[in-house]
Amino acid sequence: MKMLNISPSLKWEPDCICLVAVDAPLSFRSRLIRTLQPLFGL
Amino acid sequence: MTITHHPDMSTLMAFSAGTFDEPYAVVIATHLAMSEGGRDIMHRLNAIGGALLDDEQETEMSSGALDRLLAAADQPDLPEQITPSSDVPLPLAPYLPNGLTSAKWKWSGPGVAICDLPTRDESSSRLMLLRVAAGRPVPEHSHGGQELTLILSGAYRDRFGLFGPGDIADHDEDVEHKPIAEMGA
Amino acid sequence: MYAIAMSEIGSGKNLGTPSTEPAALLRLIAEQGDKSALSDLFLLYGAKIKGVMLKSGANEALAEDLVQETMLTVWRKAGLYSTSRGAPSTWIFTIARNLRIDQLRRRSNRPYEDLARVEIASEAPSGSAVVEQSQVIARVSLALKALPAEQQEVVHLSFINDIAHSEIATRLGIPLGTVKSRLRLAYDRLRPLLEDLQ
Repeated sequence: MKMLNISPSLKWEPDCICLVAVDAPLSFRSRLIRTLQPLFGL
Repeated sequence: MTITHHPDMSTLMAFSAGTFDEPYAVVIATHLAMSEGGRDIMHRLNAIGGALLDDEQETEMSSGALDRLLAAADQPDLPEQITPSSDVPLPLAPYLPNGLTSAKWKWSGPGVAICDLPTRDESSSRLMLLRVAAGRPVPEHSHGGQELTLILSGAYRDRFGLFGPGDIADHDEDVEHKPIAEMGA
Repeated sequence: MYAIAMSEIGSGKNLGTPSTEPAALLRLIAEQGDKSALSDLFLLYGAKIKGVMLKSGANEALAEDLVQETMLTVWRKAGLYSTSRGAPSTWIFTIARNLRIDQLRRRSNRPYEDLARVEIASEAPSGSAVVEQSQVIARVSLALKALPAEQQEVVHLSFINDIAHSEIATRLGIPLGTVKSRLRLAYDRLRPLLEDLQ
């Protein structure tokens, strides 16, 4: 099995990286920002 | 790699039937590349197609079709399209030929970045990478249509539990997310 | 029919109807490049694949082409067939499906092809013999026919007619969630049989 092998030198190494498929082409980003806004007080 | 969150069975059935738009097919193929148990289930589902093919009504082929086939069998095969190896599972590699390091991230909110991965089909659905900074809460958001999220690295937790590499969150506006708990392994 | 005559000449059998197991034919192709085995497989599957392609929305000419492509891929990749890839019918279905994705719907079958490469690289020896696999397929096909009509309908529309779940919902005038739950129920009925494949 081919495993994901991420170089430890990447500065986002501890971050969570996801692969996403959505069928709402334009709205995802705005939807995400909308949901993030209250969390971060934007 | 222990996979604990699997796609909904209906999602795997759509992949087996081949009806998904490219972005969804890429996510499921990448998940299956990371999950041996998932590949076992996919083999079973493909058997549905095998049984249906066996039962299919025969539609007569044109005369000369067999000759055409036998003549073509003499022709040399075209070289196979080889996907370059990369630091991501093989089904994702054509979309990230230089690996995750080559991803062009766009800021999309504090601690969140997105990288669009263009696909060749003309569907309205979209394939992308999502990067969430360590320690950031992943917001619960409502879903318009189906959303497949596969963890490539790192982990996150939501009300469905902890998601690690290979795990997939299969959310749908119509169906409550239901992780499949019948894995043989 | 000329096709049958070809098969007689090629294989030296007394009948045009193939009498050999599909898995044995695949082995003949893989090991000996036996074109009469290819003819026999064509006679077994060609007309069925054409039926599937027509139901998927291909016109007559494209359906014929897709049968050619499918059988040619079978010829070229027979060496990659193994029992761990399921019964021959299952393997041929996946080849036909991948070509259908690529040529009929103008989508990319690359994720499927790359996944197949992952499988070849990680293939574990299979537990069940080919004959058992084919028997299981026969039982699955009986079980499919015994499903409630509404479940059979969505399974066929998806696997044979190549229609996306959301469009099945639109066509049948039922919610998408109902399409998915019918598919899940169908799988639950088939699961005991399908698990025999492992």
